[in-house]
Amino acid sequence: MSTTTTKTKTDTIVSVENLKTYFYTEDGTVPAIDGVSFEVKRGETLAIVGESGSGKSVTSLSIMRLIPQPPGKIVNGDIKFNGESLLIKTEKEMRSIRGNRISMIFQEPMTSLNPVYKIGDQISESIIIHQKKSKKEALAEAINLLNLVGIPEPERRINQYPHELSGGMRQRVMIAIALACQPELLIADEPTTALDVTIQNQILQLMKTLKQKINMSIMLITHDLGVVAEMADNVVVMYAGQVVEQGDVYTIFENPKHPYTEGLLKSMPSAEKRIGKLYAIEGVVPNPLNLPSGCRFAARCEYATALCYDEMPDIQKIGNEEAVRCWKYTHRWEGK
Amino acid sequence: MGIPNPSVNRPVALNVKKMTGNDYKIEGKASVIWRRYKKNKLAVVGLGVFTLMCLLAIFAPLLTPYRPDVYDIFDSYYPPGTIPESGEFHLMGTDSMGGDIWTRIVFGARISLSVALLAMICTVSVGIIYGAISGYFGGWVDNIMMRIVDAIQSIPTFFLLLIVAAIITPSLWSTVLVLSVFGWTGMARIVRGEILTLKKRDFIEAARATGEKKSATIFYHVLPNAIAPITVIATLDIASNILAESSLSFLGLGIQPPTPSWGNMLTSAQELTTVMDYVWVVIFPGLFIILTVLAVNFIGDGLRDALDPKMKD
Amino acid sequence: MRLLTKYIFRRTLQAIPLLFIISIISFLLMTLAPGDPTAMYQNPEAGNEQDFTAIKEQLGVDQPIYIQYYKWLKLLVLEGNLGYSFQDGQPVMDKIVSRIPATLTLMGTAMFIAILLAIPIGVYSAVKKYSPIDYIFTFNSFLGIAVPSFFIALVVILVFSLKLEWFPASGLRSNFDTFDLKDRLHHLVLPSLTLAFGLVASMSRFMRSSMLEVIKQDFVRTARAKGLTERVVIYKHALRNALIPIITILALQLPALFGGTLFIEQLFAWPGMGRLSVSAIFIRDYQVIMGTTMIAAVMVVASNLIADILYALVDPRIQLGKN
Repeated sequence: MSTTTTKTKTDTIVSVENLKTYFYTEDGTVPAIDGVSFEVKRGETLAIVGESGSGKSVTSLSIMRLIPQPPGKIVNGDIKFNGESLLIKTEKEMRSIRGNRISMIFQEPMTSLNPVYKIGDQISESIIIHQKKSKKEALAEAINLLNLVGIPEPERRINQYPHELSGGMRQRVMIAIALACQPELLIADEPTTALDVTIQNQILQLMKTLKQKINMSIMLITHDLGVVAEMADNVVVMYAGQVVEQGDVYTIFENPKHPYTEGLLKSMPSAEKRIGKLYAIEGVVPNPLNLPSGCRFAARCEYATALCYDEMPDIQKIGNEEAVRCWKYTHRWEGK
Repeated sequence: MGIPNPSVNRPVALNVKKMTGNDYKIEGKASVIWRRYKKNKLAVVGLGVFTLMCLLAIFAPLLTPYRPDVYDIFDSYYPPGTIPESGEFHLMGTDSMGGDIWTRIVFGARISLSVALLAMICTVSVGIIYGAISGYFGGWVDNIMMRIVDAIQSIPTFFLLLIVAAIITPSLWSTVLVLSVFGWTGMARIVRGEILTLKKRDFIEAARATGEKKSATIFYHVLPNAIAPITVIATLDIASNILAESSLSFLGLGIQPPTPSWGNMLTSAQELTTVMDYVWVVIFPGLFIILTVLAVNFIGDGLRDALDPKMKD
Repeated sequence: MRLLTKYIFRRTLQAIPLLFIISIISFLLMTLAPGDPTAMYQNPEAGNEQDFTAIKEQLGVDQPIYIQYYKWLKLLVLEGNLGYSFQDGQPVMDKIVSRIPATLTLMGTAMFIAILLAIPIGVYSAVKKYSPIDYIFTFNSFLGIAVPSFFIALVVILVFSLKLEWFPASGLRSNFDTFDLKDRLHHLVLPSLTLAFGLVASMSRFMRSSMLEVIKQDFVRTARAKGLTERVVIYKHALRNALIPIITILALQLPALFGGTLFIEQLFAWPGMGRLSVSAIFIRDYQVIMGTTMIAAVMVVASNLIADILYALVDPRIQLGKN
């Protein structure tokens, strides 16, 4: 981990340290993220994997400091961007980072664009505020960006409204907006989930090419291991608000340690094992208002012992870059 | 998955309360509703105020030594709290005819509240039946029936209410009738809308497939599902009926004196000199109308939150 | 533009059956209800049966309802004539036309005031949801809905006219010689504010819930993620979307606004359509009642059309003439 505070450039772009983001609802406190740590290195693609409700989207919104407050609140931990804590920044400083140095694209291209403004206006908006360009220059830049993300006839498109574009096109527009100021980090929250398969692939390829072109890092949030295999350098697996396993993509795929990761991989459809029923992890994610005191996965885990139900395991390093939160890899393990 | 919406987790969280250890108990529907309702403090206050008004109406004769229809013109316009030589106490003073205002308010509560409730029952029944027929049969039946609703909703109906009110001999029942004539369209629309959405759901198809009769299907499956919006609209109808009764009576077209109603107690306010010099004659019935309508609206608001969290805001 | 003309034309054609139904409903109500338009001519001491028959014949109310209706409709369709007042034989159309400006001025001003107040109130309440000020606004709008409009009128007249003597409580003007704008506005203040009161209450509630709906939309999050200030996010991105449903709601409020106008005109002696119809109701002048109801209905239908056109202007997803 880099602790140097050389003005802007460090090897680690973002480091999240023991982050806890809670939601205070009428029915109780929801620990959406409960002590999450990971880092994103310059130029890498980090995938955050988990089921819905595992806290992966809250993680990304916490980095952007866009957690709706109330009911949400970052209660503990730190998020460092190029070595500087984002949590102590003023709202004004955060605005100069959002859409400029850290950008975000969302799952729903159909609803993520404002229906009543033209595409061109929506792209040029962030160019105007972050790069202090005139409206005319910004629109010219918007045309360049649309070209870059592979939208044909950009001169015509900038005068169209979102509803005139297909889902894939809209996601390209979202990417154009995100890339408008050449960010150092792009957070992509399920960018292809809502799209059909061929379009999915096109968007992923586009993100890959663009990443190289402007040398940014990508934090890719997904539940789709196919997308992970395609894109990621490193992987963080989340379950019920915690990191259960992290490591590089080869280790995770070849030699998963956590029973949950194992289950995820087994439930992935693949070309080789066409025969037989698709595997599914039994059980459901625990109610976030009423989390068990032991391992949160225990109730669904085939290896679970009394220890797993009684005590929560810590996350611990295995090897150089790998870490896992499971009793199986500790000296206290004596189970099945 | 976007910003986590806490309400997504609500049904689970609301219904399952941890008892001891790992035992879970599914709460009854009514207690869940009541628990949600209680969270809305204004709604609780509203319920209290409305209950109080109903008690005033029910126990009216016990709450006052006077009769609402017996009064002495020589006792007119005593200010509130007056004890005239005869030794009679007038809490809220007396009106132009010498009637005790408190007495007329508690007896007027009987009339005003029953008119509002009866008219609500009429509009709700007509609205449900009309909307159910329209929504269930669909097609041209629905088309024609809804055009009629459109037409009624495009007319400033208060004009027509006045016409009807002016033409028929005013009485309690005629006032109920007048308030019900056009009041049902909103309910009809809601019920129709609910039925159209519910018709598409699987369980209705399932009921049909098992050979249940059409009408049976409506009553056993669709209506219970539409109960939340129906209850809320019905509650709000009570409020608007109280207002409409007072407006009609204010113009002299509703309940006729000497029978007291909150609205006709305000008729004297048409003369501005009365308002100027004897303000209590107007203020007290006005306050009771406002309080009651506020209370009922708060109840409606609370019910909306409690019955269907989706309808909130 | 040609598209717009075509659209208006088509909508007008579609409105005809609606107005037709409205006329039937109103006509039936008036004529089926027991009551007698000749009552105002009746004087128990003088006059006899013979005379009334003659009057009835003259007014045409002795004929069956469908003939009365047919005659009324024929006159309207062929000559654009709404018939003649039972009271003084004047053409109903003339009577109404002379009253329309006053009513439109009153309603227009009230609506303008209401929009001006309700939008910022609604936006503020939504953005600062559950803040003390939101609770104050919420309580006020509940109050605005709960207080009968005639009661507000009374209080307003009592306080601002009779006690404080700031504004006149009745009429259109005091200066009858020339058009005196200041005088007119002075008279307009109380009735239009009173009429706006209830409207602000309900509209700000709608605005609040519309805004709450919009600010949880994905595109608002996108706007924030761009690094825009909260001001721009709310007033540029959210507000324009939140206003779209308000246009329809405004149009839907119109019939209720007409009802409110009735009382306000009556209490403030404002010589508009409302006052005309209230007095017509008391003397059972069917022709005038029928006429005002129809004109009011036409105004409601027209405003619905205007609302739909405005809708298409603010929302690029809507194209006129397509669903």
